[in-house]
Amino acid sequence: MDSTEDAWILATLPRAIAYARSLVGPGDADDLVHDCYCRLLAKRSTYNLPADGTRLLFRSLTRAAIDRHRRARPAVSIEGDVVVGIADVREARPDDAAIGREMADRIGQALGLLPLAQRAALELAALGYSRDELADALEVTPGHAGVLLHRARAALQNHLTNHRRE
Amino acid sequence: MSDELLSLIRSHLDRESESIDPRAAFARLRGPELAPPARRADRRMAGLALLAAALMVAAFFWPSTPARADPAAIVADARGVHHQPLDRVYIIETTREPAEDGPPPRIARVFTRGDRFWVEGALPGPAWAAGQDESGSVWMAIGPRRGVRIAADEMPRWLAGWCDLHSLRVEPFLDDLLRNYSLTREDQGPTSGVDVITAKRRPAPFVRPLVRAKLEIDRESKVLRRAVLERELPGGVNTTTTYTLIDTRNESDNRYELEGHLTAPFEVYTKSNEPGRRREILERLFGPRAKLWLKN
Repeated sequence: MDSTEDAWILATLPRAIAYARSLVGPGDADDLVHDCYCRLLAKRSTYNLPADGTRLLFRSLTRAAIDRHRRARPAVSIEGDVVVGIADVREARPDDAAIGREMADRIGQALGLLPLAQRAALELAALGYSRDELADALEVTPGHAGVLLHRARAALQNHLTNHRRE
Repeated sequence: MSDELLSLIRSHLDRESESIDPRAAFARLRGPELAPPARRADRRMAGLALLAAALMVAAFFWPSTPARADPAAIVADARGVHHQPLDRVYIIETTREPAEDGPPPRIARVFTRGDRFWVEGALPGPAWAAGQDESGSVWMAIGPRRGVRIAADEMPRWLAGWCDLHSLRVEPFLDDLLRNYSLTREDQGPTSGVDVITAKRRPAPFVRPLVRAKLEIDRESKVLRRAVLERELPGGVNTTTTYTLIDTRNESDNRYELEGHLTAPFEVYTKSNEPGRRREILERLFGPRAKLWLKN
C-alpha cells in the first residue's frame, strides 16, 4: 500500500463511516466500512482509487447496507412499504444542546426515520450523485431512483414541517 | 429536488464525518487482513480480456460526439467551473530530484475554492493545517490550540516555496496557463471521460518555475480531476507535484482562515506575540533553516 493510497483512505474514511452509520447504525457500520474498503483495495490495480475510488466506495457501501438489511429483515421492504419498525439509527447525543445544532438534530432524526433505500438515495443525492449513479448504487432503474428521491423528499419535508409546528 | 434540502443534508453529513476519528479504522485496514489473496492471475487476465473486448465493442457502437479540440477553450471552461463556490479536495504528492535523503514523497491534502486554499496533513501524525490569506501572510495551525502567522514582509524564500508547492489556487493557476503557456490537447478518443491538456512554458524574460503541467479535465463536469506540475527550483532541484481530486464538498468560509482550525482557548504566535514560541514551532516543523531565518 503506498502513501497516496493511505492518504485517500484517511481522507475518505470519516465520510464513509458517517454514511454507513446513517444506513445501518453505529454497531454494524465499522464492519461494513472495513469490508467495503477491503474489497475495493483488493482490486486496486483495476481502478484509479484517488480519482474514482470514492464513488465506487459509496456504491459498495450502499449495496452492502441494503444486502445486510434484507438478510436481517427479509419480510420488510427497504423502500418504505412498511415504515414502522425501521429504527432511528442515529443515537441521541445528550450534549447537543446548542441552538445552532437544532436543525442538525432535526435533519439527522428525520433521515433516520426514512426507509433505507430512500435514506441512501437522498444522502447520495446530497453528496452530488446523479440519478444514473443513484440507480447504479441502489441497483434500480433511473426512473425508480427518481421515485425513491421524490418519496424521500416528501417524507423528510413532512417530518421537518411537523417538527416546526410543535 | 430542493437545493436547500440537499444542502442541509450535506451539511449534516459533513458534521457527522467531522466528529469521526478515522485512525482506528485505518489501523484495522493496514493489518494482515488486507494481504493480497492467493494468486488469481488467470481469472484476472480473463477479466481484463473481457473488459477490453467490451470496450472495443462499445467504442464501435458508441454514438460519436464532436470532441472539443481547442485546448484553451477546455482550460477556460474548467476555470469557469472552478469559480463556483464549491470546495474541492485534492491529494498532493510531491517528489523531488535529486531525491532527498530521508522521508518518502510528501503527501498532503489541499482544499480549494476559487482562488482560496488551505492544506493539511494527510497521513497519520500530528494534525496541522496551513494557508495563505489575501495579504500574503502564511498561517499554520498545529493542533486545535496553537497557531502561527508569518507576515508577507518577513516571509523567507523557502517558506514561500513551500506554499507554492502545497497550494492550489485553481482559478489563477488556469489563468496563468492560458496566458503564459503553450497548450496542446492529447487525443484520448471519443469514449474517454477526460481531456488531457499539456501546458509548456513559453520563452519569456521572467523564467517561471513551472516548466510543464499536465491536466486531466472531466469532459462532462469540466472539473480539474488531476494535475501534474513539473517545476524547476533554485539550486538545481526539480519537483513533480501531483494533485488528484478526491472529493467535492461544502466547507465553512472560516476554514480558509487560521481561526477556522482552532478551538478556544487558543493562542496565535506572531512576530509581536511570543516570537520565541513561534520560532520553536517552526524549527520543529521545518528544521534548521527556520532557526537560521528567524532572528527573534
